[in-house]
Amino acid sequence: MILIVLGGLFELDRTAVIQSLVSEPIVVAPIAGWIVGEPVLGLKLGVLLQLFFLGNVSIGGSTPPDGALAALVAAGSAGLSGADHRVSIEALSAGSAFILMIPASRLGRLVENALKEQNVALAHDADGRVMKEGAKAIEKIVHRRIFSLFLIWAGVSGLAVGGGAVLLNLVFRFIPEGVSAALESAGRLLPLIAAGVALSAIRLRRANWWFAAACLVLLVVSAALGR
Amino acid sequence: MTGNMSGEQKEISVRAWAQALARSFLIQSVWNNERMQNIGFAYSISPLINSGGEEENRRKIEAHLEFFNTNPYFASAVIGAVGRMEGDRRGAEDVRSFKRSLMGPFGALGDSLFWCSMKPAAALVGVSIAIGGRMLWAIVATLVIYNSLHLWARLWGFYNGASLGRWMLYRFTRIRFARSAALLGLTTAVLLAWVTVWGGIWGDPLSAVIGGHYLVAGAIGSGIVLLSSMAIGRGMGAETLFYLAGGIALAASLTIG
Repeated sequence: MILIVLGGLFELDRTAVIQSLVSEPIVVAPIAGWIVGEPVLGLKLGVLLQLFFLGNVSIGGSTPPDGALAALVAAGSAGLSGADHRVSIEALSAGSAFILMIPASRLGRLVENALKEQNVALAHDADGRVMKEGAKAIEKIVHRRIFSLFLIWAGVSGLAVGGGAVLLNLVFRFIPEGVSAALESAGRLLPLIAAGVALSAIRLRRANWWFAAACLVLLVVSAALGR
Repeated sequence: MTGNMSGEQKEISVRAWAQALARSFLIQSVWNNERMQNIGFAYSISPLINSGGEEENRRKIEAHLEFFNTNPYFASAVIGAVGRMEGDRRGAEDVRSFKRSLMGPFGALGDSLFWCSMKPAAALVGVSIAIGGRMLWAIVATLVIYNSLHLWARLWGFYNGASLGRWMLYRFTRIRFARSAALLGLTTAVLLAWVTVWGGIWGDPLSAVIGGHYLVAGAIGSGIVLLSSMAIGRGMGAETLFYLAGGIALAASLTIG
């Protein structure tokens, strides 16, 4: 229940109110993980998803994939699936990222686009009502919309987390032990791939060169310190 | 900001200014594909429209239902300035052209400064703390760094808009947006290098597999990050790369055992 309410609030922050970064994966996943009793898993997924979705920005009228819903679903479902008794945290977080992260982010984008389209009708409604009711009409439209957005996003979050948990439970119930061990090893590569995605999103001329130079300096310092 | 003005100017109460500022936080609430932030703008500006006649007020609010879209943080500056212009009883065409001329540049500057530069930098500070296992500090650092700057931008923009009206543009020209964005981009790249080489982004066990050599692990890690970034630069989708690299790693792990 707390996850559902938080899902509504995170999505409100991301799409409609304030935009305070509360809806970034590095905030959402650890909180969701902590709520379902898996703080370490939440933290691991938070790092991975934040790097992957670092360049997700809504410029102009674009709708990027929804990193907040992806983080909530990946961490919340993994914790609620009960699969942590069968496999390690590393395998569970990699499996959750593999199976749920991208579909959840796409679901969020789909819902957001539908809501933006729905808002067109509200804009027309405002045209018709403002000359009759004045500013009160706009106030009513905005307040009701914020409330309905909260309910819609809370519902979507609840369904997505619940569905994700059932799916993960099924997958990890029937997965052979060798595969979950391989998933654990392969999962270590995922943050690096996500970091590559993050690097490609940095708005800086020759970002790759700057990154390589910084890595080189840090490696030389590491060598000098004997690490 | 309370305008105790003579002649044509209209006094706007501090309460109305505060209401408009608070409402500017909701400017995206009814974002739509047709006129984007139009309802949010009309909602935010309405406390500042009080010309005396109800009919005239309604007409002015209706005029603000036209297309509007800019960066939500810099929108407060436009709302403040338009509020001042409305209070000064500037002509409808003046207000309209002012809004139209500002929303594009403010959108581009705000998006590049906040979304594309400040957000990644603040989030990466959080990531670098989270890798050390400090969940609460990771969340607090991300939110405090970003929001202290974002709230300052909202308040500063609104205050300048409300006090200077259309002349607030001169305040904005003093900010070196391009340099700030480049500096933040550089910080983000260095932070990313730090978490890759020293932050143990892929965990200690793998370093142990490579014989406990952090140096080797760091070098291989940086190489993989660079290759991934270059693959995306060459047109590969991030999702495709994620599944492809993950799938190959999974298959390799299964084969090697």
